[in-house]
Amino acid sequence: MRTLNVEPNEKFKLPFIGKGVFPLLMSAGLKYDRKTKAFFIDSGTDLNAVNGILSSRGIKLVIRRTCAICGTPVKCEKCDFLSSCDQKQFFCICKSCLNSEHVFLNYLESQKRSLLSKVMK
Amino acid sequence: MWVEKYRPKTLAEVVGNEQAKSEFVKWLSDWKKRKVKELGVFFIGPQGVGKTSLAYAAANDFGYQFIELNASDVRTESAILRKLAPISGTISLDSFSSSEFIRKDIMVFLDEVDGIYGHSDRGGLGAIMELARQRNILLILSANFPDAVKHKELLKNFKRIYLHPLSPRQILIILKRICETEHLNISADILQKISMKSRGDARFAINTLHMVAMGHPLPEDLEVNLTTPLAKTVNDLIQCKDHMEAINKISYSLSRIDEIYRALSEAIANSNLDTSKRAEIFDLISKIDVFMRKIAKKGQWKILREVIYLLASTSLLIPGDRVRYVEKIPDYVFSKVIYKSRSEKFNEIINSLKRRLHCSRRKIVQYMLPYLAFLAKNNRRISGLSKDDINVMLSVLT
Repeated sequence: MRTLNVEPNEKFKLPFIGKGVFPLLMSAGLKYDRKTKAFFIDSGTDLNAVNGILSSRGIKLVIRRTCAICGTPVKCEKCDFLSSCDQKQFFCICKSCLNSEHVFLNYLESQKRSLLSKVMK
Repeated sequence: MWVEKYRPKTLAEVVGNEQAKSEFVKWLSDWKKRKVKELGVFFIGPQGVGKTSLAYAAANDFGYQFIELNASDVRTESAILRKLAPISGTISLDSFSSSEFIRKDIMVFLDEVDGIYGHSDRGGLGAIMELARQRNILLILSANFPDAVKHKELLKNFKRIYLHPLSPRQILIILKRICETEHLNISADILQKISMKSRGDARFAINTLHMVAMGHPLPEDLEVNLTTPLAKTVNDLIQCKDHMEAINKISYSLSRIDEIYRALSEAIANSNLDTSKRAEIFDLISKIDVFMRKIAKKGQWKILREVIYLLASTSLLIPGDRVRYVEKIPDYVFSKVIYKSRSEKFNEIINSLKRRLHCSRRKIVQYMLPYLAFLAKNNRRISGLSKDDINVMLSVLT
């Protein structure tokens, strides 16, 4: 099984999947950009459904989760909360940011920067 | 309520669902530039993930006047138009003069759209579509579980943004912020427990923190339980010591309100409470019943909130140590099940006879069964039918 680590909105290519599979992927919420001829995931993508469809082609999509504050990769396998998390969020908070003193203020600052860049685009 | 007090005022304050947030911001920027083809935005996600907060915060950030409507209250076309006529383009001079709204950018947030249906709600969906097409207001819809068929038009014409349950770490940020602002000294263990048990529901987490801050102990079985059986819900409700706790129990139960108050009345009827106490409780339950019938008959969903308050007050009147609800399946359900399995077996027998004797079902039932029953009653063997089959046949025929 080939694992494909992807980030939200990051474009990626898949090997030829056939005409029959493409509409299935679209109905599972995977997005396709006609200009760049690449796929991407967004908030509406049902990753379980997509992986179910792609498993026959030997491909598995895995979200590369990053910290919403500092941007470092977050490893779910080592998380204390793993048992009570459904892992549907694309972003999380890394342990060091979570334990920092002003975690909410830091989050606020990072979000302001991130959203401002979206508006400026 | 802390849920309202700590509702995010700006988009940056909305914790979690960063992807949905950025999609929404991008779409809003395009909407302002008239670059989008969708009529509005449709937030889809479970409760407590921040659908209302996201819309409210965006309205603040983008300078919209925010109007929140609950689709449970305004389901019919006339009700929707009546509420929104002053801000839509089709207003008369009279309604304009009485309008409380200033004609500027307006965002209308219609919550619980999954409660609106097309024809059965007398054109509620049509009214929403009509309103959205006027393009002078920004319409934001929200739903937990939209129906792919009934809400097809909305799903097709609105920008769908999905919100997911928050991760426990994101919930922890919200709780830490409240603790900091309220100067609460709550142990990290309790905060961690609340964030884990809330299953991504920020509202539940904040309400639980509020309860703990008010001095209530953290319940051992604290959990957003979507499959709580009715008996547990009712017995928990009877044990509640606080009005807010009771309201939370009712709100977070998936059991229907009518099921809960019927179960309560059954528990009271079977209890050994004195007559005056029973009369007092039954009086309140009968009031709830009247309200529920009004909701069912006239669609007055806005009184549902009052029903919940009344139900919570009723449950507080019940002494928790003397009343207990035991879920009992009515006898008629058993007889229905037995009858169903018996009739299925009987049909099997008829079908097997039909195949073996090469004649119609009607002919077997009308002409042959009485003779077969006579043979069976006289303990004669009927080839091809077992003793059980014969018993079933006889029980149906007699």
